[in-house]
Amino acid sequence: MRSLRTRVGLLLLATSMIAASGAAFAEQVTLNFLTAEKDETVAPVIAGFEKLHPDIKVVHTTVPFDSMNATIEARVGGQDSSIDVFLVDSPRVPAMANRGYLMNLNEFRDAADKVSNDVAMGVVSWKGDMYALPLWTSTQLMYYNKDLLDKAGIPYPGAKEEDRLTYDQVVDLAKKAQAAGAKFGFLPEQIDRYYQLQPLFESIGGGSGLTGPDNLTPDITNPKWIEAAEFYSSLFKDGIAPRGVPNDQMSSVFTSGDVAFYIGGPWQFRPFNAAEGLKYGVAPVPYFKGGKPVVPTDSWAVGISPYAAHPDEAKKFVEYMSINPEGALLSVANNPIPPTNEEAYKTYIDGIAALNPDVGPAAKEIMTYELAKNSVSRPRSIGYVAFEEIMNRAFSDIRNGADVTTTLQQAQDQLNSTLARIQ
Amino acid sequence: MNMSARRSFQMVLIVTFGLLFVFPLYWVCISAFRPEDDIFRYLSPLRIWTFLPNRVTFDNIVTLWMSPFARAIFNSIFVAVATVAGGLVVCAMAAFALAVIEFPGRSLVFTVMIVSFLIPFDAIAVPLYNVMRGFGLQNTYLGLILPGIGNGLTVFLLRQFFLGLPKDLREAGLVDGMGYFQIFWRIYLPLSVPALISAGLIMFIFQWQAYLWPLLIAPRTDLKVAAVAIAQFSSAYDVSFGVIFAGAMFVSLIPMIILVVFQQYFTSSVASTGGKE
Repeated sequence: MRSLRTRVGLLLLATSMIAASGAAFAEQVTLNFLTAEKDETVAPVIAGFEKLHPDIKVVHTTVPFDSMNATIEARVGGQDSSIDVFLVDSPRVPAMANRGYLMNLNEFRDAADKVSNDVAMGVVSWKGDMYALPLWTSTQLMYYNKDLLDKAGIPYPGAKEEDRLTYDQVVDLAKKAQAAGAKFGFLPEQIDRYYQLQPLFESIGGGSGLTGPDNLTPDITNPKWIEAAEFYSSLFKDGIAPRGVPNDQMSSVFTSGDVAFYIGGPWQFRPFNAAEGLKYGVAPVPYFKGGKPVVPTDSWAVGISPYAAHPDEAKKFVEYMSINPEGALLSVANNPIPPTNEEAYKTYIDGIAALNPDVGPAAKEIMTYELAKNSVSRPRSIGYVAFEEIMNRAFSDIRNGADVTTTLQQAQDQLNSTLARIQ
Repeated sequence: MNMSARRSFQMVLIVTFGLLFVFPLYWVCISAFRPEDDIFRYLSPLRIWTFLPNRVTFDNIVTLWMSPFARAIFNSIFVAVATVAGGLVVCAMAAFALAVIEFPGRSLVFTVMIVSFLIPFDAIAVPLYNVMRGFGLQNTYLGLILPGIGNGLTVFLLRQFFLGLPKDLREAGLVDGMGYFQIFWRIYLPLSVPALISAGLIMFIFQWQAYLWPLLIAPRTDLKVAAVAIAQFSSAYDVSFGVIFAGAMFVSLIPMIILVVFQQYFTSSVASTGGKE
């Protein structure tokens, strides 16, 4: 009995000594990673990274999407060392770099350039320096409700680039579908948001709305801008799109089977596939006759706080997520949007194509050529955040029936004074 | 119009307005039991399925409770109760000092306190966050609780209530050799139960509905409060309305129960504060 106790005691002593020595050799570093994503979205990439680097533990903190930028402003702006790595809304890179919220990542330029396209590289750079690594991107498609089109005797639009309809053609078809019983004809997913509406102005040839040195001069009252804004206004004035439905409820109007044509991102595949009784197809986003096809793009990039407690480990993590194809692919394993990493994209898009055999091949074709040819990023400017806020308000007024020319002129005046202050 | 017809008309009007107020809450509750696709399907035009779910699911409730929501509810309750307990002691003593003890600068202190509750909390959240972080209070319960303890509105309400208590009581206490603390503890507090309940409710609600502050000071998963935990079901590409509604339903229940239990004290004390003698 006594010898058993001695043996157990010795064993415990030995175990604790081994554990202590192990801890001394491999002290684990904890990286804090801030996003607006659910835990399960980033869990695969964190697990993959931790397996590769057992000495680094990544702790994910999530904040609600609408509070993400305010949180970064408050915490990184307050030089908080408890955030190492965070996701950055890519059009905010210039403003954040300008305020010193992002670490310079020029050392990754060559490696990132090899795996990402020029658009993705452009959005993470400001004045020749690189402040984040490209992570995810986005594109849009035009979804259509097959039942509503059948009812109106409208043939399904094709998926090839040459099959792309003009906005006027889509509106005509939408009215036809409404005459045959569709509640609404045609609606954009993110009403009043510059991200969603920029393609209208770019397609017609009106420009992004910001020009001049460093994109700090507003240009939103030119005739092309007014024409495109009149088109947006008419969608709601003519009852083709509903006035009272907010952004985040828009997709449910489509899943309810009430809309003939709907412009949205690839994040809608899962909910649309799951919607009971919904038969849908996809086509490329329309363009203005005489203009060019344009789709919105960009998403979150990944950056490092200049006040990070563990910058070296943070660099390893962002490199894994963005440049390593395995990490890039894991970052979208539970996420419906495309990775910027071109190697990872190939596997991602095959996964999207396999989600729904009816729609998948067309979706793959459209997304691939849109991302390669027709994606236009939001303007690179330290004034982008203010620009976006003012424009989103103006779009909301236009949607609610305000006079287009007056509203744009007021927004232009407001932008002139706001951007002059930023200059 | 005769008396009874008039009363019936008033009753109908009151009930109609009551229903109008209750309806959004009712809709949120039934939507928590609807599949995601159905939530907005029957909103326009209004029909029977707007008011009754034609398909019932418990998926939203299950998803909610499978997430760390229970922990978040515990955190919210703990933070709110601790704030009420600590806040009542601090605020009642401050109110007593401002109402009873004559000291130079009393009006100035009172004015500063009034101004403090007129400044929106959001305006001071970021600088306050930097101060708290400097004290090492980030991701701690203390960091969540402290800003709720010194509540200007509570001090104001309690001071007004204390001013309404007869001076004779205090003077009798002083004659009997009581110190200010004993007068506060033995005379003022026992007479002020309704006002204290009312003040406690204000502090409870302040913490219960806090969003920006908990988001900044305690973003760690195990310290998240209920309001932040619910908002988490809305990400950039996916908003789970059913789960958010289920969360909102449970989060509304707790203050609702507390208000129903204590409402008589709340109204009586609010009505009596501000009156002198």
